[in-house]
Amino acid sequence: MPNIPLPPDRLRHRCDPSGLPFETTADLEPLDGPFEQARAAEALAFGASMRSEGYHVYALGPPGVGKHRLVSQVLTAQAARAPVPSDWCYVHSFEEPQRPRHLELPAGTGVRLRQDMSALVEELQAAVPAAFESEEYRNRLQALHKRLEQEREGALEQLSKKAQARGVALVRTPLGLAVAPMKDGEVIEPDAFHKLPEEERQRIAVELQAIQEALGDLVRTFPAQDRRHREEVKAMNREVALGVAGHLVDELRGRWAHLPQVVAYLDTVGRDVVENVHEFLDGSGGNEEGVGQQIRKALGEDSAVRRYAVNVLVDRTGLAGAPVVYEDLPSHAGLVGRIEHRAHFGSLVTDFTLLRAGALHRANGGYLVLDVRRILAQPFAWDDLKRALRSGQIRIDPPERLMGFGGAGSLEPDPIPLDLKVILVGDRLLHLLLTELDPEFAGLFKVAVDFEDQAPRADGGEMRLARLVAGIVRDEKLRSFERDAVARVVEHAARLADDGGKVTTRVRDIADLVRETDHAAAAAGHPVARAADVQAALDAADRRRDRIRRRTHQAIVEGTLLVDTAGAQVGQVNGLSVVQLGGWSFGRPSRITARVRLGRGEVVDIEREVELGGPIHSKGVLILAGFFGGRFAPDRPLSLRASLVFEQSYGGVEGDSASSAELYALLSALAELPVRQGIAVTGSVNQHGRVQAIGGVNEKVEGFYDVCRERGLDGSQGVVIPAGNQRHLMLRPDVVEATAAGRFHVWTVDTVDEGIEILTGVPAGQLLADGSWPEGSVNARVDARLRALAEASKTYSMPGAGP
Amino acid sequence: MTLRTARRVVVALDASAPSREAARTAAELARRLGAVEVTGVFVEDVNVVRLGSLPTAREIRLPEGTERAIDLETLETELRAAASRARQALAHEASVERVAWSFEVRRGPVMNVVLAATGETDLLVLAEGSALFTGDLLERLLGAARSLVLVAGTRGRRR
Repeated sequence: MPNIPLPPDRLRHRCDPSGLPFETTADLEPLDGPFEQARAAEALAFGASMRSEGYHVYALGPPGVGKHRLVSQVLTAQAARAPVPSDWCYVHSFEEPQRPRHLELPAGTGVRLRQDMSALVEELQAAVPAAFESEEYRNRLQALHKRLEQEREGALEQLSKKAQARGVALVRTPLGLAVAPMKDGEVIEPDAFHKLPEEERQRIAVELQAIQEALGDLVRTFPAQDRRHREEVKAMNREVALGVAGHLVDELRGRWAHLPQVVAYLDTVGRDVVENVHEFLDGSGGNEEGVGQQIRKALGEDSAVRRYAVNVLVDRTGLAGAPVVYEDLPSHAGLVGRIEHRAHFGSLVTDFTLLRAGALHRANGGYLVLDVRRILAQPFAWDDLKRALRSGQIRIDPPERLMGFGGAGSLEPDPIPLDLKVILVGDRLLHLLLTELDPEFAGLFKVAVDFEDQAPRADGGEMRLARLVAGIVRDEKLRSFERDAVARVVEHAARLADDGGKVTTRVRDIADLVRETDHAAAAAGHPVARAADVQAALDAADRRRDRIRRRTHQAIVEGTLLVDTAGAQVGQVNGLSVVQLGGWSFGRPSRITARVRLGRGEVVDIEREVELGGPIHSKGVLILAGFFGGRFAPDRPLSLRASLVFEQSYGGVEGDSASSAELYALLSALAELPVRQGIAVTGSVNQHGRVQAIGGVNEKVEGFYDVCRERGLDGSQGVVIPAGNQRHLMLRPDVVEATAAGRFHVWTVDTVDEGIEILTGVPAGQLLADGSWPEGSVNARVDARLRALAEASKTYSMPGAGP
Repeated sequence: MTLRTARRVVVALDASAPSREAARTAAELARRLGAVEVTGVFVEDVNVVRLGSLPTAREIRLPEGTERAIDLETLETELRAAASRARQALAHEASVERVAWSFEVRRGPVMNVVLAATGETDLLVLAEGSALFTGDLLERLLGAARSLVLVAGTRGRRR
């Protein structure tokens, strides 16, 4: 008979302090987290150094395993060996002002170019006006004006003489010129004119007409003259400007001769200075364009000071190696940069100096770390990232353009070539969803760095965990941990892993425990943290969050929730479920009952009927029908209708871990054998009656233990668990103690037969060669009952039989 | 008489741009010389007035070169407008220089009007390139002037 409870040492996979060769963690070489992620580190190093396209990285794993820390460690090391990438600047595009051009400059020189350009503008502002105010310039300008004037006056004078010879005067009116008949060198008096004979008046009219026409012809040549004059002035201005600006720009060109891109830019600047030299003159000096120029200056939208500025988008001054950028807010603008605006006479305007870098610019040539959940939560950001990686360039697009209604006067900056490695950090679910739903994802993020959530305790795992504790203690300046305390931490790490042979790799949880232990040790006045402090910290954490557990257990103890922990009942078994509440879980017993009657072979799951049961739960129940049919009625109809229910369960039930309990309830109901109520069971079954491992075994055992302890342990109580779960046992020390004292028991079973024997105290019975079951066994009683039901069914189905 | 003792500065004005420059020069001189006031004399050329009364009167406007018939009434209006602009220009320059000013309009042959003005002042300012002094008028005037005459060019622009 294998129904012997597990010995206490099997209930908790203790960490033997004698296996930890140190006194306190101060003796240890501290381990920098993350913990036991060698595989992930290797994958990450591969991803970070693989230069081919599409080898961007997705670091996936549960929260708290140290994804960010490992990423930061690996990337910082890689980046330190990489060259410092270029500076990036935006400058004005003289050909297409709405498309600012970019300049790629050696690291740290962008700022120098900006300074040089601003010095150039300053010098131009001083030198250009000086040149245009010089005596020489004024003389030349005067000469040009004079020439125009003389030409014009000369021509008018000539015409005037010609007119006078023919008795016609050329008169200047307020708005123009006129011709009039002349007498004695002056315009004729009207009266005198009227007294002239008719033929004389006729003659004068003819002369007037001729001179008038000649005058008209002359005046019509004036605009062309003016234009020529303006051109001459402009050409002269250009010549003067070239004289001043030429050598200033040349000087700069020499300084930047090693960078053809900059030289080309300086050439365009030189040409622009010559074309727009008036912008450097203050316009108050009676220049013909005085007022208009002043207005332009006031509006100042496109002034030289702005046009010749250098917008250093990315400055690598002081950077050693490649940049590693973690963008906390990966919004559209946070990634690709943005175009700012400034208020200008009541409207918003922009130019290239208002372009601002995004994380892609800053990380260009290095590494960009992004939290995948955050980037997915930001409008446009995910598409922005993929577009940038796919096209290999960063394009600063204002969001309104992405939405299809481009703002007036907006910019389209030259896209900047992009060469960087993106490391997404996120959970596994999002990785799966992205792989499944985003066809571009797999092509761009080829390296999956999958973090472990647990690691073996063997092969030095416990020692490394001890060193991790030492690392946390050192980093956070906490108390050292005694060896016993570390052993207790290891045990808790195993409990968190839900596996006696493993420990969790969730460094965050370990670190929390270490910190809380330090706090407890401080309260207890211990200079070095002891095992008792670890336990105190764990107990305190439990107390902080166990309100719901207390209330649930209290309701059971008080009898509000009906769970028997003593006596025996037919068709009634204590099942165990796990309640999960915000990252914390606890076990609670539930009463499962079964009723049977004549029927057509269905097992009715009441939870499912009312849609309180999930699909896995239903699957477990349907398996039961398979078990009964296969074992007891392979060659006859199963004339049974059984109903199963989780009593007093008003929330949903999911999972198949109660299917063995349901089966015991059914067997008990059919065999009419009472089940011991001091025992709770967990485990799923298959159609052959084998009991299979389930999750949350520790919480379940402890949940029942807590209820029994409240009611008083009588030494008969215990829990039946699947044998497959034995390795997962990391029960609380108090449960282990009660077991050692014989006041509580944990049995493991492989088959339903083993379980039913424990529950009923009656042998299950093995199938005999003749197809029958041993007399008095549970199976024999079930078989007999099912046969009786089948017989009864036959009676009802005979012709003429009543329903 | 010397410039140092000039008590009054007269400037001959018409509608043209150079005469506004002359107003500026006159106002500045008045201040520098400590003159009592600067007087603007707007000269209405009698030839223009006569022209308006002739049935044949036509005008070519500047700078566009269009031709139109004109009458006395139109001319008078335009002369008044030009005088008003000249008055404003003088007022402005005088206020800049903080000197007293007066303004009058005189009609007649240009030579007569301006020559008469030289008899009433210590210093007469004329604008070089003014539309008033066509042909040899300026030379004749300088020969006959009874006061100092300053022909203000456009060269002396201040920045």
